[in-house]
Amino acid sequence: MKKALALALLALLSSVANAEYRHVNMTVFGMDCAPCAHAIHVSMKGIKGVDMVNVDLNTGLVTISLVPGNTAGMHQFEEAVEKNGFTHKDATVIVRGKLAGTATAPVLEVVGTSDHYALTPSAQQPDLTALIGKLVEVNGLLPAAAKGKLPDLLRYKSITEAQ
Amino acid sequence: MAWRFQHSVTSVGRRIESTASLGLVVPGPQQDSGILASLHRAPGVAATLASGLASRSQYLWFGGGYTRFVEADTDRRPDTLSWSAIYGYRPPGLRRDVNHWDYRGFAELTGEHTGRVRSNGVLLPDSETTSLWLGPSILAILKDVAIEGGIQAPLYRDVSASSYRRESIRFAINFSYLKYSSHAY
Repeated sequence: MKKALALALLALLSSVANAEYRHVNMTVFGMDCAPCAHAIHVSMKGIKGVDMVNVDLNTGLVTISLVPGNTAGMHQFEEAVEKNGFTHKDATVIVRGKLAGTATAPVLEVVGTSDHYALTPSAQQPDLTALIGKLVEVNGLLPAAAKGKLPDLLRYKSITEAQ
Repeated sequence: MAWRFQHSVTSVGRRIESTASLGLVVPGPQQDSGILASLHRAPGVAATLASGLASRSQYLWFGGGYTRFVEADTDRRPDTLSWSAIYGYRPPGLRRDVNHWDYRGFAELTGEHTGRVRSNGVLLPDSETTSLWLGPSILAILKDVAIEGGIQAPLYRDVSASSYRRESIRFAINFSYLKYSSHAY
């Protein structure tokens, strides 16, 4: 019994440690010049867990890669944009988290952060019953939310059990 | 001290914003000419208001300002009302990323009206001036370093030749260090 409990705890800790944002590609409005891009670059690199940042001024796309085991939250990326005087729009993310809720109303909890999203498919809804309660990796789009707020919804393109 | 009181982001690479600023003007070591040379010098305050559009390709900016100096030993430099209209352009080949020098060129139309000079407690007659200037400038920025240079020639001048020395050209070179905050969390 003790062994089973220990294994369960280990599995839970393992899940928690792997729940995180892996990639965030965020569209930013208002950057007209190289110093704007540099400001965003410096701010994003200041977020603990950020590995690489690339800013494309002509498309407004900010590409962020994060190290495994990070606890960076979406609000930190948004705040970095807002504090530099720009506006963040849609973001595509690859994120790991615990799939909670039900198969018809799934919720992704990015454990280690306070972020959680109602999941909605961008195409036909797959059957998620087998994934409920498991650690999953989601590739999807976070629509723009009001300033200072996180989106409630994540429109996913794919959802798979995390390895 | 500056306050960006209006800010509107319209699309990728484009924004409209308005900024007000308040600054302290301190006389430097440079010797003045004409009737200003004999005045006791004192600092002043400058208030400005600027509003405009910034984009990857073009800039359009309008601004105005007012400077008032403190009286020193019954002397006072004239109040100055200034205004400007700026058009900027960044050619397609120079719309590059953060690791390259960011260049843009401007055409700057500026004007100013200075009030009467107070000397020994007396407002000097014929000491008011009005002038309008036009010229190009170039701004180059790489990460946290900015260099700007510009030159202007007068389009219109209403300046007393007996009170002020003839000013046929203006130029300026500015070096700036930009401090970025990492907002480390």
